[in-house]
Amino acid sequence: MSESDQIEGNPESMVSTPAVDVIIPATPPAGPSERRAARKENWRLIRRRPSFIVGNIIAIVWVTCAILGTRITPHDPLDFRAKPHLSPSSDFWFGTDKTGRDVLSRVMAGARDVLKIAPPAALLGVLFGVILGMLMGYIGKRVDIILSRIVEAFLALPVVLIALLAITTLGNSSWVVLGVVAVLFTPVVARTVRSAVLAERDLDYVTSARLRGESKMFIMFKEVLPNVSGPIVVELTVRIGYAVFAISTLSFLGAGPPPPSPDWGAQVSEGFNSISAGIWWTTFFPAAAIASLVIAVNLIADAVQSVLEAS
Amino acid sequence: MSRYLLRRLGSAVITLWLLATIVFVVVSVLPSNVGRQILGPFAPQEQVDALNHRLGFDRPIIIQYLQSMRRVFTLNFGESYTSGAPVNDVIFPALWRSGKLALLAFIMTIPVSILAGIIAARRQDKLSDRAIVNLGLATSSIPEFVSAAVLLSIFCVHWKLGKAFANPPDGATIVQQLQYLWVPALAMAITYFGYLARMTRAGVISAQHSDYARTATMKGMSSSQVMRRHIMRNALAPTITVISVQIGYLFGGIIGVERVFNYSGLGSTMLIAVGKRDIPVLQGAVLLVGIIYMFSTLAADLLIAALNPRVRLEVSK
Amino acid sequence: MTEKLDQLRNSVGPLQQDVIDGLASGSLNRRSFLVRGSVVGLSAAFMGSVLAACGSDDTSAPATTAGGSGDTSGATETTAGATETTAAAGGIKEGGNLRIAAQRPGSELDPISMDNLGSYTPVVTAFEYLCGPGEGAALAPMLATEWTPNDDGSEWTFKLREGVTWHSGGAFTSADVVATMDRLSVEGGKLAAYLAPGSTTAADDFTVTMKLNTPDGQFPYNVCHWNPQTVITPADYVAGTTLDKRPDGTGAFKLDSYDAATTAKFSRNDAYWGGKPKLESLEFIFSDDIATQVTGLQSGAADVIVQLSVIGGEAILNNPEQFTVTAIRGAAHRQLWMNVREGTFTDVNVRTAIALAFDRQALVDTALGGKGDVGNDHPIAPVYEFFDAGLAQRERDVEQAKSLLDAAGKAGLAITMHVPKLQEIPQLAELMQSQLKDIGMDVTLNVESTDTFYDRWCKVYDSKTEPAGCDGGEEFGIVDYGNRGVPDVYLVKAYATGEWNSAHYLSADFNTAVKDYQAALTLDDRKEPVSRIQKIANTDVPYVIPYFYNGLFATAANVTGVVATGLGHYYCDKAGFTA
Repeated sequence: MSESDQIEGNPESMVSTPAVDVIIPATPPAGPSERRAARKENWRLIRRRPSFIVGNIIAIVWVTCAILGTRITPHDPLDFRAKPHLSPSSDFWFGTDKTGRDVLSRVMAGARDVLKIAPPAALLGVLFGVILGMLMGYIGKRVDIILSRIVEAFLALPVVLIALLAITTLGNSSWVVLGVVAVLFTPVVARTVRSAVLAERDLDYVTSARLRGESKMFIMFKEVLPNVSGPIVVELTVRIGYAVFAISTLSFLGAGPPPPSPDWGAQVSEGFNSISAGIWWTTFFPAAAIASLVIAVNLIADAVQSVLEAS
Repeated sequence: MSRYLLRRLGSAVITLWLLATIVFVVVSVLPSNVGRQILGPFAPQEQVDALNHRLGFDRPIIIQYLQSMRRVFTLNFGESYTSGAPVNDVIFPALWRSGKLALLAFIMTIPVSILAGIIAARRQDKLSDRAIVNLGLATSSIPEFVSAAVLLSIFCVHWKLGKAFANPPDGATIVQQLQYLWVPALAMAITYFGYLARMTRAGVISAQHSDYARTATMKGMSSSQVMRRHIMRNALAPTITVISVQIGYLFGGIIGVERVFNYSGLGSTMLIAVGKRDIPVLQGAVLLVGIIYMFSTLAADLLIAALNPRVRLEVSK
Repeated sequence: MTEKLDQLRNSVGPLQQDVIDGLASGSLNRRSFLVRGSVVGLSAAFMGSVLAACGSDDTSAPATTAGGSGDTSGATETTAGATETTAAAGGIKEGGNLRIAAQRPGSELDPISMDNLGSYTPVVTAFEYLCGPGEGAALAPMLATEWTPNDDGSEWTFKLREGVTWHSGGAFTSADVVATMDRLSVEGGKLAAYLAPGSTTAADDFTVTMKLNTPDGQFPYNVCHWNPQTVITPADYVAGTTLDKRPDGTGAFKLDSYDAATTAKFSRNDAYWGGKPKLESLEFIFSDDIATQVTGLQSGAADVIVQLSVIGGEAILNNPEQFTVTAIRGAAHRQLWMNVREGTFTDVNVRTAIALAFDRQALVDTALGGKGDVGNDHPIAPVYEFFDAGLAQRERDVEQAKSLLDAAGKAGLAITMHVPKLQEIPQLAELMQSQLKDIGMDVTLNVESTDTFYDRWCKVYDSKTEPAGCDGGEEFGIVDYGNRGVPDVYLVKAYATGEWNSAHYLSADFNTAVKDYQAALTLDDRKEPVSRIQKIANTDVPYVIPYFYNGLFATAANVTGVVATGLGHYYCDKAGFTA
């Protein structure tokens, strides 16, 4: 793939060259069957990458915790109470928190709070972003000029604050958080997709489809979309990681799900000033949980990205 | 070139106008009664109405919008609803503080992470490459408020090498200010190390594989010459872009770090403004962040163009 | 009664005689005597003589805080009201800059309309009251040196301190007090319930008399630190002027600079009437949460913090060598309100069931680390002398609670509890939620920043429509009440249709009891109506009061002499660093 994909598909995908279009050397077009074969081959390569395997193992652990919830936690994450601030021991592997709840149970149960919001929010953001990006990139002209400016304006917004403003006003239900994160991701994704589409727009297969008299919609979603699926898949995995990050940050700032929810970000926020009193476990384990989930998602994203880029 | 600049600036103005409009729309759509909010629940309704009238909230929405835009384009955002001080007296000192912290964080992180990225790329798939890549992945996966809290406990509380309240006192010398700022800056630097190192690595690797690098090597240039003359110039483009985008983010988005260190930068100023629905301050601060974002991305594009003659500057279609 | 005591007794008025009688008859202990005596204007020296005449073995004037009896967590304990960190006699160094981590001002520094602790702090450092904080709930002379009631408590005369100068240079006189009182007694003013404009008059430059709307035996409590907006401002002060626009005052420190985002800086007032302060300067460092304040104190970035909570304050509480923590036992409490007028809680059975669900001792132990008194669903704290201990403590009874809920047709009630993100309240709410689960209730918590929470509590207060009350608030939630020397604020504002009546509680019997209590001029007269108040509130349960918590106040070990009230005041005229 071309140089520009290096830029577009990088892990910090808020990034792309804002108004500079790097001149892209044209790649020879591929027929539909070849493309399918290539995708199959890519998928085989991805599955073999160690980072993909490790990332998935971690992710599956958290997904399992999220699905099974209190059925597998050693204690009730909400109502069980032992002595407050017990340090980790064989009874309580991760210790107990300030009101005597089992930190291990809360960290396990907390996976659900993150996982029921982050992936759907990322998916929704990518969906909107793809639609917007396709329109901007393929239709171009006035649509592109106008949408580009709006996207640019959104990119200049301090994301977390706007989310906070919306959440404090509309209430901090999961739906609001999900919607807000999705909306804030949309312009970033749109931009990546737009660049990818621009690179494809003038290639022969698009031109020939146009000459065949196919409708714009058909060309956009049946012809161009499969060819830009690489960056989109990368974007989706990366966005899930960001969504985990964003949701934890919002919880840390007090706009997460209400207590006694065992949300990870909220646990970190409640516990961090006790670290210096030697009570590190109430912060460390939920923080490690956030980091491990983000790392898992990033490992998967890396694997996907490096295979798609190499092809 | 100057034509390009003019067009870029023109489009920046349009973007800012849109930004201001988005803020206005968000603020107007969200239900609130500003007068009631400022005066509290115990104020008589007449006083609330009078204040709403004075602030113009009883006028048609279009008039409110025009007034809001006038405030934006004259950079005079009115008075804070909570402290009564002119908004500019609130946001510019905060901007200055954010700037200091962001600058220090960049000084700490840029050389190290670019170097790490180059080393990793040159030793691709060797042990040092894996170490750097995984370290970068790990550091950029830890939320900045977590690393801030940990660094605070270690350096400020335990070893007392830094300050838990990071606002330097008035009239502090640069060296004294560093004492206050280095721990929060380090927390930010750690978060960015991962992004920048990985970005640089990717850029260098792709440039190494490029035709011009291959051609240069075939022409018999030494590998360090190729590196300097050809690869670096191209490879740094994505890194520069990341940095430019992050400048905007550093100014407005590092709320976690500012909060942990009780630092009064733009981030916490906006956080407080959101909490108190102090719309003039929020509007001013958001636009300030927007302006910084525009300028840093413009500067980055110019820099990339200067480094790499293959990049043609044009306003996006 | 000894001849000496008789002689002392005959030299004062009836309200003061009553307090002396209380001591003589044994209904007031020594500590309560000193508190009550200070309110009706007995001087410390006079009370010392009375104590001596009564044969009290301790003849000293009000003692300094007893320190050092630290329990396991290293906190010392004092009773209701202001407290002072244990003074190491004579060991205070000259000079130094004291840094206090304080709440960020939430509004302008307007002495009359300020409404939050953050704004109080800088204002009350510059300006002073007629009466200031004494030992415990006692009052001490501040700008007034003496005060005396007439026989029925309808008129109070204050002798003002001579030789006090404003920071701006002029002399402090009765004109300043008269003007201040008039500003506060206009409609909606903080003293409007007690005074009408013009009812404060000056006999001479240093004597003012206030004619009250209704007799009040404890009026000085309304012109002291417990009523923060009654700071005395200059005669030509214009309402609405903020402290930073006109930095003036009579306090021990004067404002040098103010930045709402970061700090308020004060330097010492060399001409202070109480003597030149030891400290060179004072700095309030604003911060938004207890977490940063705790790390600030720990790391040496601050010397003092107030309102430490046990949860989150472990690092300070567990380290008695480095930090002095003082626990102030008082009347500060948390209140779980239930709207009695409309919605879910109109049936008293439902409210009683909820009150019966709580294991209050467990709440005190977990949420407060044991630092508090169990509450009994009325706002009369055990520290008040007129507290009636005869009323049985409500204990947890899950079975009865369930059957009451059943009887009301509300078994399995699901409801949202609104909670401010403030100190230990979120943890209290979580514990309550767990305990309510045991009686079959399904409670959802909505924990919000204090920036938006108070809208849930009372969005708009409507004084025009009868009965007056809060509109737009939610029906169920927890709100915080600070410490007060007398329960009047709680009784009037929260229960008797006042502006903080989030339960919309209205009871003619209760209001009569409150009127009787307020009209009672002597302690004995107060006991009966207070007992009635306790019973009515406890039976009607518009509010569950889980506990009265101790205010915790922490300083670095090398700091001494700071007097804090828990209401935003930090008096540092005698404070300093130990050598």
